[in-house]
Formats: sequence, C-alpha cells, structure tokens
Amino acid sequence: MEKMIFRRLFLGIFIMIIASLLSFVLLYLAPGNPAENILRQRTGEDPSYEEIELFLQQKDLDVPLLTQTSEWLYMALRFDFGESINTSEPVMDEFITRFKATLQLTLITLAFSIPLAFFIGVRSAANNGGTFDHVSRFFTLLAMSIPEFWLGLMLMIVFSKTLNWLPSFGYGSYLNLIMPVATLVVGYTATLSRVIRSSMLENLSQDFITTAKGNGLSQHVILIKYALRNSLGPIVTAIGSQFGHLLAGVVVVETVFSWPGIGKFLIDAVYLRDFPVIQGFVLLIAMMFVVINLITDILYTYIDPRIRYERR
Amino acid sequence: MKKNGIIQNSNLLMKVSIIIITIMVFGVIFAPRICNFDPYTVDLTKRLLPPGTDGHIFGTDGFGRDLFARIIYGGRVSIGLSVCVVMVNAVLGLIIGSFAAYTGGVIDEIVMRIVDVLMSFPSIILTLFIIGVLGPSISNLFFALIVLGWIGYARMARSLVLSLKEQSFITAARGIGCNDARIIFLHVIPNVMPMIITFAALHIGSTILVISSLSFLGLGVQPPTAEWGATLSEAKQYLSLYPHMIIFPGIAIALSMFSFNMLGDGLRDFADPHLKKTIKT
Amino acid sequence: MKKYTMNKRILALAMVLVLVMATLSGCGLSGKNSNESVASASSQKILRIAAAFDFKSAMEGKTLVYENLVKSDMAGNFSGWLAEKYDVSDDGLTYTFHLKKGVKFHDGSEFNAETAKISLEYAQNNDANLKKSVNSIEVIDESTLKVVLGTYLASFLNTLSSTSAPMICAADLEPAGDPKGKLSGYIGTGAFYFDEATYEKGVKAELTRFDDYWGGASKLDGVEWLYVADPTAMVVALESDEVDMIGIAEHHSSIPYVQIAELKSKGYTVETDETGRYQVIEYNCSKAPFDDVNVRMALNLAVDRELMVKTLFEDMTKASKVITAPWFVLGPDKVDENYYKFDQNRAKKMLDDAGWIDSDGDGIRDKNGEKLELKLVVPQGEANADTVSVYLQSELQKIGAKIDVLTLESSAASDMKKAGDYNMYIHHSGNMPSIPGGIGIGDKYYSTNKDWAYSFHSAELDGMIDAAFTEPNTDSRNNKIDTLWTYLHAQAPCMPLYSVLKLVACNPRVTGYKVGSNMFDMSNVRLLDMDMSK
Repeated sequence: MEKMIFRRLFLGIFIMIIASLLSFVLLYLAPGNPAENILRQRTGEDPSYEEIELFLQQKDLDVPLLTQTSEWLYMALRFDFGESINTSEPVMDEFITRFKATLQLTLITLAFSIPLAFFIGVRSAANNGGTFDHVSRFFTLLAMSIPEFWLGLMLMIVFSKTLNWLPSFGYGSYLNLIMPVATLVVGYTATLSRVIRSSMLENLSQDFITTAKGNGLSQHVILIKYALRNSLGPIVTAIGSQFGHLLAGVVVVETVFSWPGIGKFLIDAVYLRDFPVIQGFVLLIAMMFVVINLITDILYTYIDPRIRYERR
Repeated sequence: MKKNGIIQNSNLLMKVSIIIITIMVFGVIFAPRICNFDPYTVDLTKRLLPPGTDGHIFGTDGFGRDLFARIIYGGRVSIGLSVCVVMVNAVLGLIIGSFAAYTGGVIDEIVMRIVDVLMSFPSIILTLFIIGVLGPSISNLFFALIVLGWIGYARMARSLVLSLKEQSFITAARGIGCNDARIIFLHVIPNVMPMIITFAALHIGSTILVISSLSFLGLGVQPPTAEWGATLSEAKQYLSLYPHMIIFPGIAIALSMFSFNMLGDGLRDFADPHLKKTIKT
Repeated sequence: MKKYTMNKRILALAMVLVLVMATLSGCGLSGKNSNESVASASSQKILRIAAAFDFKSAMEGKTLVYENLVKSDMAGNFSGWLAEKYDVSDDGLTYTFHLKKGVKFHDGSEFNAETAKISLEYAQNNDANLKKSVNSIEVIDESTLKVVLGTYLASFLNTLSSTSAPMICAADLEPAGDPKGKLSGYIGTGAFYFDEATYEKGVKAELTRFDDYWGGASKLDGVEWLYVADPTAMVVALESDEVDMIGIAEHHSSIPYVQIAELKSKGYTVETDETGRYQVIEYNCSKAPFDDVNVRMALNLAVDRELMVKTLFEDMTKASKVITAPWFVLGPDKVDENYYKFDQNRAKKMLDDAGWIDSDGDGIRDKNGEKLELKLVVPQGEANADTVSVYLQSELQKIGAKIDVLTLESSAASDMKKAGDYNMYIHHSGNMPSIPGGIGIGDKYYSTNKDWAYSFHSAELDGMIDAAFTEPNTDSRNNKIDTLWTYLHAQAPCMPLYSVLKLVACNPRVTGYKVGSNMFDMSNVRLLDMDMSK
C-alpha cells in the first residue's frame, strides 16, 4: 500500500512536470503575446508597437519566454506562481477564489447524481430486461444525448425569462445553484448509472451469485451484499474520474450561467496569453487530478481487498 | 430467459438506431440530391421564414438560407468529422495499444506512462487550450480531438491483447514461425475488432457532442460552414422570436447522438460479457 | 416487495450522502437571494448594471470612480473638466490648466495642482505617447498647472481625457506619493466610490454615491456592477428584472442587434450611441488585385450596406458612407456621401475595364490566368464579423469575385496582417476616428506604420498627413484635412461598412440617460434617476 502511494506520488510529480512543459511548448508556439491580447481586449483596438513595448516593460515581460519560464519554475517550486498579467493579483489567490466556486458546483452535482445514479443503476440491473430497465435505458441514453449548452439555455429561458423563478446569473445563494447543477446532473447521472448497471450485471452473471442464489439467499441480499459490493471498485473509479472532469470540465455551464469558476477563467487567460495564470492553473489542475486519482486508488483497495497492489 | 429479453430488446433498439443512422448517412452522402436549396445561398428577401413556406421544409435562417439544407449539409461536417476523428483515433490507439502489449517490456512501460500522463489531464481543458492557442478551424479541432482521443482505444487494445497473447492459437502461430507483424495483423487485431467497434460507436456519439459544443462556443467550425453547433450558435439570437431555428439543429444533434449511443449500447450487449469491463463509458 | 425495501435503503443512503455533501460544499453559501437587497429596499435607488467583464479588469468601470482634467464630446471637441479651463500656446507646446476649486477625493482630501502633477506623472509612466512628448510638469500655484511638451502631440488633449490619465489621490499610491508606484485603492473624485469589501472576484462590485461630489451628489444611491458572461443571459437578466441596464459597461455591446430590436419592441428603453467606430474591410494594396484602384473602387460599389443594416442588423445601426464619421471634428464632412453609392452595374463595368473578365464562364472573373479569388481574414471575436463575411461573400459573388473567409485567433490574424498575407481584413477603427492618423500621426495609411504596412500608402498622402497634423491652427488644419479626405476617398483604401454602436438597453424605470464622451465613458450614470414605483 505505501509502495503504491509512493509510486503514485512519483508518477504525479512526473505528470505535473509534463503538463507544465506541454503548456509551455504550446504557448511558445502560439501567436500573440500578453501585452497585445490584453490591450486589445481592454480597448477593443489593435494596440500600437509603442503601447505594447511599454506594457511589456511595465510587467517585466521584455525578457525571452524561456527566461520567464525558468524563473517561473524556480518560483513554482516554492509554491509561488507569480501575478496575473491581466488582473495584477497573485495567481494563487485567483485560483483559490475560483476553485471554491467550481468545487461547490462539482460537489453538489455529485451529491445529487451519485445517489440518483445508484438508484437507477441498481434497480435497472435488478430489473434486467424488464420495464424499468427499458425505460431507464431509454432515458439515460436520451439524457446523454442532450448537449449541456442547449439544456442550460433552455432552462434559463423557461425558469428565468418566462417564469421568473430563478436568477439567470450570479453566485452566492442556493437559488443561483439550481440551474447550473440541474444542467450538470442530467448528463452525469445518466453516464454514471450506466456504469453502475453494467458493472452490476457483470457481477450478477458470476458463479458466486449463482451459488448464492442456490443457497436460497434473498434477491435483496444478493444485490446489495454481493453484487453491489463487488461492483463498487469500478464504480468508485468512474466517480473519481467524473469528479476530476467535473472540476475542470464545467466551462460550458460556467459560461452560460456566469459562474466564477476555474474553467472559464483559464480559457479567458489562454486568450489573453496570461502566462503566469495559464502555467499556474495548469499545474494546479494537474495536481488536483493526481490527488483525486490517488484517493480513488486508495478507496479502491479499501473496497476491494482482492487488489493489493503488489505488482503495480 | 432474461438474457433473451435483453437481446430481443436491444435488437429492436439497434434496428431503430441502425435505420436512423442509415437514413442520416444517406442524407449526408446524397445531400445535393435531397435538398432543393443550396445551404450557402443568401437571399435577404426570404429571411426568417417559418417552417413549410415556399418549399423550405424547416424554414429559413437570418440570411434567408434554407434551414433544411443547412442541417443536411451540416450533418456532413458533424457526422463526417466525428467519424473521421473516431476512425483515426481507433486505428492509432489499436496500433499503439496492441504493439505495446505484444512487445511488452520497456516499450509497454513507456507507452503506458504516456497514457497515464494524458489520462490524468482533463480532456476538455486540453481541447479548449489547444484551440485557444492555435485558433478556431476544422483542422485544429481535428488535431485537438486526436491528441487525447486515441488513449481509450490504446488501453482497451492493450488489455485485450494481453489476455489474447497467452491463448493457444497465438502461441501456435508463433510456433509455426509467423513473424510479429503478421501475428498482430492477422490474429490479434481481428480478435479485438468487435470491442473496438462497440467503443467507437459510443465515441462517435460523444464526438458529435464535443464538436457541436465547441462550435457553439465559437471555437470549432467557423461560419459560413454549415455545422449543427455553429447553426445553433447563429440561431441563439433569434431564440424567442423564431424558435424553429434552434429546435431543428438541436433535434439533429440529439437524434444522431441518441442513435449512435443506442447502437453502441446494443453492440455492447452482443459482445462477450466477460470483456464488458474494458468498455465502460 | 423486497425490491422496495432495498430501494428504501438505497434512498436513505442517498439522502445521507446528499446532506453530507451539501453541508460540506454549502459552507460558503449565504442562503439569501442576491437580489434580495434590491427587493427589500425599494426606496434605495441602486442601479444594477450587467457587465461582460469583471469590474477591475474593465476600463469602463474606472470612469465611475476617476475623472480627468479635460473632457471631450463624441465629435472630438474638448472642454475643461477638473481643470475649469485651459490655455494653449500658439505653438501648441505649452498647456496651462486652471484647476477647479473645492474638488474632493473620496478619502476627503483636497484636489490641487500638486496631486494633479503626481497624477500626470503617473500617467506618463503608463502611456507611451505622454512619456515621449511631455517635457515638464510644473506647479504654478495651488490651482494652476503648466505642462510643456517637447514635440507637438496632436492627441495630447485626447489622451488627457481618456482613462490613461485619471486624476488620482497621492495617498493611494504605494509607496505614497510616488508616481512610479502601484495604484492600490480606487480613490478618485468621481460621483461614486468603490468599497473593496463589497468586491467579489468575477461576481460583482458595489459602488456607493459620493455625497461630497463637486458637481452635486447623484440621485442614485449606488451602482451594482454585476458580471454576466453570456450575451443571451444578459438579455434574460434584463427581462427578468435582475438587472436594470445592459450594454453600458462595454465599449460596444456584445448583444446582437436582433435582440436589441426585440427589447425595444417590448418597451425597454434603448439608446444607440454613435461613437465613430466604423467597421471596415481593409484592402492589401501591395499586391494584385487591390494594387489597382479600380478594383478597390468596384468592390466598394458592389456592396449594399443600406440593405445589410436594414435586414441583418434590424435597422439598429447606420451604414457607413464614407471612411470615417463625417460628424467628427476631423472627419470627412466635405466628401459626397454618395461617393460609394451601391451600383453593381458600375462595379462590373469597372472590373471589366480593369481587365478582370470571366473568360472561362465559371462565374469568377480572371485576369492573366489568375482568378479573382480574395482571402478575407476575420480575427476571432470581431463583432458581427460572421454576419458581414457571409453577406460580403454572397454580394461579391454577384459581380464575379469569390471570397474565401478565414477566421483566425486574433493574434494569428494580426500576425497575418503584419505579414501582408491577406487580401481583405475585417477591422474596426478606433473610438475617435483614427483614420488617417485622425488624432495623431502614424495610423493605418501613414507609410511608417508597421501594423498596416500593406495598406494603401503613398508619398503624396504622407506629405498631406504631415502637413495636417503638425498644424496647430485649427482652421487651416481642417482645410488640409479636407483635401486629404478627398484624395483618400478617391483612392478607396478600404470598404467602410457600418457604424459600430454602443447600445444601451434599460428598464423604463431608469431615466435621464446621457451619452458619455466616448465609448468607454460611463460617468454620466451619475445623472440617472430611477422611479422605484415602476
């Protein structure tokens, strides 16, 4: 177990270095520089050569990107990611403020979609081939087919514009959460419930279930005690990966509902070529992923004692 | 008995989805024959016509272009591009994955570490990142979707090959002196194909969604090219006055995704239940 | 039956999970509706503005807090603001500012020549033009300031009136009073003050009325700056009464013209401010076909701008008939507005005469084996560029020209422009018209401009620009500029399309809207009133 954790952590550091290098190479290849892009966004005009030069000077950007990056790496080792070129605020502050908002959205989405998915998944596995299974299969596949941006927009039109029940933008109250969460829950519940169903079915077809049935155990006991418990491993992995992707992947919802999360901020930073923000955010997001994967793996071994991580 | 139930049921669903997909593929291929109008002809005297007027089945858009033609031609981009992306990814992943598993050792280790690194990064962020850096265009979109797309196939192919590797017919092939390439292409790949195809069907569905989402955000296919997400994005401003403009492309996206998902799901039930584990969505 | 008990257990488990996660993540939530403050305090006149950018990263928001020495109107006429009046020497190099008395900063300190000097020095460090031209800044007495320029700078007053040169409080600099320092707070002389404690990154900022404002306190109690990322959401927010005003916090509205027209028909107040920013297609005049003035002219005649504006833009804006706004002080008011009148037959004839004939009958003209195929570069994010390019494509096809639209990330597009790798480039002019040089030498058509090296240039034009913009006398300068415009229009260096408007839509309860001095300026919010009974 300790060995596995160490191995994972080592791999994690490797991943973070690769992610930073990757983003650096991409930015290095990209046209444009922060001065030009930030000034253009502020004034809506193409800035002149003089303006660009002055801006670069002020922000200490008139050194080669390579030097900037090596300085950045040196600072990043001490967890100092510098300041955003656009907002002049420490990157760490920007990250923490926005990460809170994204984390909120993610946790609440999972809080709704996990139980719902378990309910649908387990029930349709138990009901394999029956009406509930058919209906839930139809609806989960349908839910997976609805684009998030379209659903978000429709919810906004109905609940904000027409009915005037919910706020269309903003952050800070429970009411603000309803529509973004609803938009996300639909797709994630559907995906997760299908994982649960197939994982359950796979276990239900195994020999020990047949044996259990033969021993006259009730269906309820078989489902929960044997099938579900044995399916938990893959399910936890699926939840872990969903959690990670939710943290980073809610850009669309953040844009539609003006949610102040990390995704939208990072994309804006990419457009502005705000190097410190991009580098810092990429590294921190990669780190987050590493941590989530590690937790998932630990949980996995805890749930499924058959896996001991001796070999890997 | 229950097993029969699934198969019958998925048979029906698969039939429906295959019919829908066939119709769509035909529509896409024979688009010029099906449409009475050109999707790119602007006619400002015929703007925003409701569905059914003057032979415009779905009405017209803000430029007076025929919406039906734009959706049919849009399918060329949306479905065509998705199929291309998935095919390239599948081939790439299959080759890398089976090669890694078959040769094993250091190569396998290196490939799997690369896969680990790429897996541990949020795909949507990387896609948006690449497009944000390189700019919006079909080719950049294609590139961005391939950078991460092959991983799933590689992992799947690898685990399938690992289990196949020790089976008797491969050992026998090796015994009669077949070289590695021959074994991979003649014995290994045909055996992993069914699972790959199943995965690919599901992947096409999700790729259609990703492409249209990106186009909707203005990061994918650019106007005037007809594409479902882009058409939706153009229609957004007419939302409350001319809802037909947002309904039809929305249905097109949902319907195509739905049928590809159905197809993939049905195929999965046919595939060997013991291999189910590897194709979790 | 048994199935049901199982479901109950799962449900119970699920509920526990929901509760745990909700409490975990709900720590930061207040539970109150963000609009509650408005609903509960109907007597409080808080103007809720939807903004496409965060308060601190938008230039517009600063105009609520800071003021300038001088102010201009949209046409480019300057008048004193915090400087009651100003004198300019005959050579245009010495400016004397007589400051207003009794102006107070938000922290209660007095505005005087000393703080004005520090402010200008601070501006000098942050503005390339000022840095280059200003020689000395001198305090004459408590309320008089003298600025001496080293070289004549036609845009000096314009820079002073812009957000580049705000009057700041010396104590607000870090270290205090050091013009090279960092500006920390938001202490200005404006009608509203900003309280850092109310600011939520990427969410909102609250501004409160400044009671000691020298021009009389505003009728509004405050302004709420609310970040709304998506234009559609902005319209929805206005219609569901979550905000009172949209569009004012952006230099030109991101909201599509169609939706503005719809809001107007629903009874919302819609103000359209013409700011002199024109969207144009720039030609690459360094290579065929646009090295030929006849081709440039033909294309200018081939596009029906009036129809475009009337249909595609719902008649919300105005077609551009000349290169820049004629009402601008330095604008082409002597040029005939029918100069580029839509006439496709004339356009076709001009192309025929220029040697571009469709010899192979494929509908596209050619000359010496080259087809009339034009690359139109569209920088991503350019407002309405999608609409315009689709329209141009269809219009120009009618006269036998094929347009290939290429949308690129804005920096990539800009690089392409600098490398001359384009035939046509969609672009908008500056806020106060910058063509040619408009308010400073060195814009687009001046030959030394590195950004527009492939635009139309000629030695003749350079001479005209030099002559006009080194002329301190207003009347003779205007004459020189009129000849310049006549020459430039005959050369058809670009295809003017339409006027990019600043569109402001508000709830009818808001009254008294007045256009700002430029597209960034929203200081006139202080003049607004709200009828809370509506």
